[in-house]
Amino acid sequence: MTEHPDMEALSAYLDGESDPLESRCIATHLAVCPSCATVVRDLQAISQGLRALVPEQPPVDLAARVGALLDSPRLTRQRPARWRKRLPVVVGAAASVLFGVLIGSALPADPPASAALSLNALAVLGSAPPGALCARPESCYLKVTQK
Amino acid sequence: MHDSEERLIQQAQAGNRHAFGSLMQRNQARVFQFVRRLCAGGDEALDITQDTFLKAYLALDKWRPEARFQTWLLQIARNTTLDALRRQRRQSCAALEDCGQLVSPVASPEQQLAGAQRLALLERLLARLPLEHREILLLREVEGLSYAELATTLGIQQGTVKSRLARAREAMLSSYRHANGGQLDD
Repeated sequence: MTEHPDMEALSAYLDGESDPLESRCIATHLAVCPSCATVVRDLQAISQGLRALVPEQPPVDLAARVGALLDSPRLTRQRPARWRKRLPVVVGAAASVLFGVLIGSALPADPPASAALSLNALAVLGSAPPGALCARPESCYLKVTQK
Repeated sequence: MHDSEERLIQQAQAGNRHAFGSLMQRNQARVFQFVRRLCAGGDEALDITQDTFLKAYLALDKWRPEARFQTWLLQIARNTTLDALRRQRRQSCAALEDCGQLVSPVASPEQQLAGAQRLALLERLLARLPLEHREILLLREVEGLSYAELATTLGIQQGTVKSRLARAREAMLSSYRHANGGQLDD
């Protein structure tokens, strides 16, 4: 390799993420290029330093704090078992609604005119006389009596 | 993943809080440090870590064995931290100067001193990097995530992982050399 590999190639090489051919080319280049070899060595030193950072325990016992919070009723995890219990109710409710919608959509949008006529004809059989006339005149009009 | 850990996760998924507590004990230091370094510090890091585990417990049903549990936790921690940062509209933390124990206690006292100084410098330089560079360096170098895991955790393509990691390393290398007068003293 005559060109210097860029940082992306060196970074991938460092992580063992280069393909085998590229990896061989970079290794060959590093053997003859002190500048790139220094970059790789420095990157390795930084990586080793970062890996040496020791995880520090949190200052309080988080497990106890989280446990107490999980005891509060608002944070109860919904588990599949509960869903399974509720499933028949949900399915039943959904089926009822769907059935209602299907029946509703099966009905005609407007009643036929003949039906309206027959209903009007039947009105004469009601307790109120047609034309909203008073059913019992003696209770609607004052009876004038001559003395 | 250890069999015992997988068993603990299964028990926790079944609602066993003691098992979840054990998982927390195993992972809380790692998550806490990741969150602290990614941003917050002090009580905020503690609160974000606590929120991370609460979210993890509530979402345990979504965890699948194909993903490493630690990676899954770190993904939740990262999202929770970014949410907190967005709320606070800041990207720096003050408590990183106080680095606590930085270096392995198995080294000699002289090595520990030199190592601690070097690691303290690394921590400070890391904290000054842009958030995008800081998070990918933490996840790769400290947590050891693979490129595929990085892509999943950060929600980016593997090609982007490669280029972003290279830019982050370049920035870190430049800062480190500058801080050391042009060269590393390892």
